[in-house]
Amino acid sequence: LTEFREASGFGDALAALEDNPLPHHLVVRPDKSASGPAEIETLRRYFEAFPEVDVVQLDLEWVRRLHSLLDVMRRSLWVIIAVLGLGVLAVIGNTIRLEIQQRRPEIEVTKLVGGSNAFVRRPFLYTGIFYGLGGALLATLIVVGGMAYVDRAVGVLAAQYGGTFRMTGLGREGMGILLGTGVVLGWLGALISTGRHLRRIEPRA
Amino acid sequence: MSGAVSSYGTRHLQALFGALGRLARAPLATLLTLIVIGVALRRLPTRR
Repeated sequence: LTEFREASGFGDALAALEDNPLPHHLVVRPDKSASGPAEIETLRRYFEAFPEVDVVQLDLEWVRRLHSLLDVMRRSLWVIIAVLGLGVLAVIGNTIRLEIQQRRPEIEVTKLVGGSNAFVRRPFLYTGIFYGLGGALLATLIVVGGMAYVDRAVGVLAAQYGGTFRMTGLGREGMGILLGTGVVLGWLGALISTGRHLRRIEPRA
Repeated sequence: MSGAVSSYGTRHLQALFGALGRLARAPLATLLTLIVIGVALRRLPTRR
């Protein structure tokens, strides 16, 4: 009744009622892990089975649409992840390839005096790791700086609509994932590039 | 055995600092590469 009084605007008229004439109602919010259309349908059947329950109101069509939309977004996100990950690998791989070309005479001499491929590869792998780590740190700075810049304006806009929406940053976990991803991609890009190009460099007689 | 491990570690440290030094000797090129990588990495989703 309180909710109805606030939403309907019949405050004075409702004050004349001695007790609540409206039937009881329960609002059930399913857990995140059970928010799929099939689970929600099961939940509806479960509540309908109670003899005390008259009506179970649920717009399953909207739940299905929302899940389809989320599925499209999730798949698009994976495509973006793959493309950007490949982009990072390509940038690091190409940078390492240029470094290998630049240091070709040095690599030839190292191999001539018995330096193994692993020995020659090692500095390039570290370079790749530093590129990945540095790029990830820069990405973190861009995200944190961007969030801080936009946050105040978003807060003001949200307040005008009566909300308290705030931008949340990456968080420690997000930063850890970003830095880890950067290091792994840097190392992998360097590994692929050195694997391809170092084999071709052999000391000339 | 410990000598071999120590020598292996030393070679890794040499490679690590050598790579850092080479990056530091070409700061502009390094920065430009880092910006490209950083902008690409920024778009990767990192939220749960």
